[in-house]
Amino acid sequence: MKRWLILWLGVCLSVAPVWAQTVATSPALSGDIARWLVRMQDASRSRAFVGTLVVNAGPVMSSSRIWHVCNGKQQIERVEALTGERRSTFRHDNTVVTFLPESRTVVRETRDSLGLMTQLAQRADASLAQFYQLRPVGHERVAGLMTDVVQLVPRDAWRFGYRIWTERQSGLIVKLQTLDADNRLLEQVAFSELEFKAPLPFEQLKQLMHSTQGYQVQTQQLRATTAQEHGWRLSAPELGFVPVKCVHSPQAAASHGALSLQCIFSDGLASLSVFMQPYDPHHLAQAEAHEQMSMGATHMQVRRLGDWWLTAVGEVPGQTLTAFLQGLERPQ
Amino acid sequence: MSALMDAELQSSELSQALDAISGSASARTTWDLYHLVGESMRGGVGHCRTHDPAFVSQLRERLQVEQARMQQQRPLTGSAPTRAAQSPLAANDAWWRKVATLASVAVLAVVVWQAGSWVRPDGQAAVELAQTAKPAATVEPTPVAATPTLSGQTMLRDPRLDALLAAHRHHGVSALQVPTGFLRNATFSEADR
Repeated sequence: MKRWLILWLGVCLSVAPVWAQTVATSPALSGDIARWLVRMQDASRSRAFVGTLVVNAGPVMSSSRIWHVCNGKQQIERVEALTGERRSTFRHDNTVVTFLPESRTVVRETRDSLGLMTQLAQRADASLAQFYQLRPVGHERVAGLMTDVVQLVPRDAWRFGYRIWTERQSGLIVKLQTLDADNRLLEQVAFSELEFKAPLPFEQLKQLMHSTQGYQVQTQQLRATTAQEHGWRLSAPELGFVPVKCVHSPQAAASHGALSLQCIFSDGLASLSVFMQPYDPHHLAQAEAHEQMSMGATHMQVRRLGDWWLTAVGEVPGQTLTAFLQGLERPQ
Repeated sequence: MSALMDAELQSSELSQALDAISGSASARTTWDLYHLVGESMRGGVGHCRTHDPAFVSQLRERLQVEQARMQQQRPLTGSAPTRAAQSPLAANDAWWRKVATLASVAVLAVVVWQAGSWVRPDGQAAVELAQTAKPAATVEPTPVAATPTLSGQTMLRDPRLDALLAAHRHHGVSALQVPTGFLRNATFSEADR
């Protein structure tokens, strides 16, 4: 008996590291959303890659060539659009520079939202698990790579679900689908071809990003603000979407002749924006006739409130946008 | 001669009288004289002319020549005249039935072609029709185009709406934003729609 007990302990001790390693390399299988997201974030900071990305949103297909380089702490990438208007977009952490060769224009902006990702991923388990259930689906080969497939199933009807393919070794997302309540495909983002290699040295890509000679450089200026500051009272419905920030663009106000306020809400995965603008019958009469619009996973709804025009946009079902628009008030 | 002029002769007597006039120049002179007297009694001398035998003779010769020429131009075949020549075309004639069938097929083809353009999947023709039927605009025209979507709803092409969509994508917050969300937004442009 004693000999059997020693043998059993030996087997357990020898299997435990293997089991632990399996869970560590495939957190998707454990159903742990937080670890799965952190691993996914780490993948883009630790692996360089080059590939072709294809986006199918509604009836429209777009594609681009991607170069992604990282040095462990920082990441830089170049996105060369292969469809539509010619444009090259560079991202260095949360700084984004877009080259538009046809108009010889460069748009430079800082996107704070890109810096929020790590925080979101770290506190994801506490919030995301309330709204989504991580369900392992299996393994599939995508773009020549073996992937773990998981589904993030929404726990209510206020948000869409996701099916995600991550490369088994690195955890990088290779394919992502947005699904509605009936599991119908709304939108898909997928690499058609992907190689893990450094296409260019980090510094060289950074140099390209700042080579703006011959271009007119425009800098996007956004001012952080609050809805209350602009006379709005927003009682956000208890749907799990928390207010992230409100921004006001003086440039947009100058170019469009209208003050536009944007408030962003997120549940950690999906986000929505509510825009408040003065009502302009000349430019928004067409939109008024189409109160609900959609493109892939992105939905849009509009509502007129007195002399104001409210627009809600987000990768959420239309009913979620309706709830947010109804929660907006403008006290006299 | 007087009975002939008054149309009182029967067939046999008429035949003998006509033979006598055609075979005798004096009889034809008498025939002309009787007509001249009758005309004088009905309308006066001013309206009467005497018969010109030379003119009539030339007219007869010319008529004989013309009849001979028409006989030469007539078809030599002894076949019966065609049905088309004998009677006007009826509405239920076989030829008309063929024409009517061809016309029906042509009309049907036009209708199907038009219907096909109305239900084109990209909805472009529908928009064109709507634009054609649009009365004089009372508001400033907005560059808006409709784009069908998966859900059957319509996405407007409006630069202002595009700007709102772009602003949302820029500031949207998601744990999937880096790198996938960003790459997706940089790949997909609102202008691609």
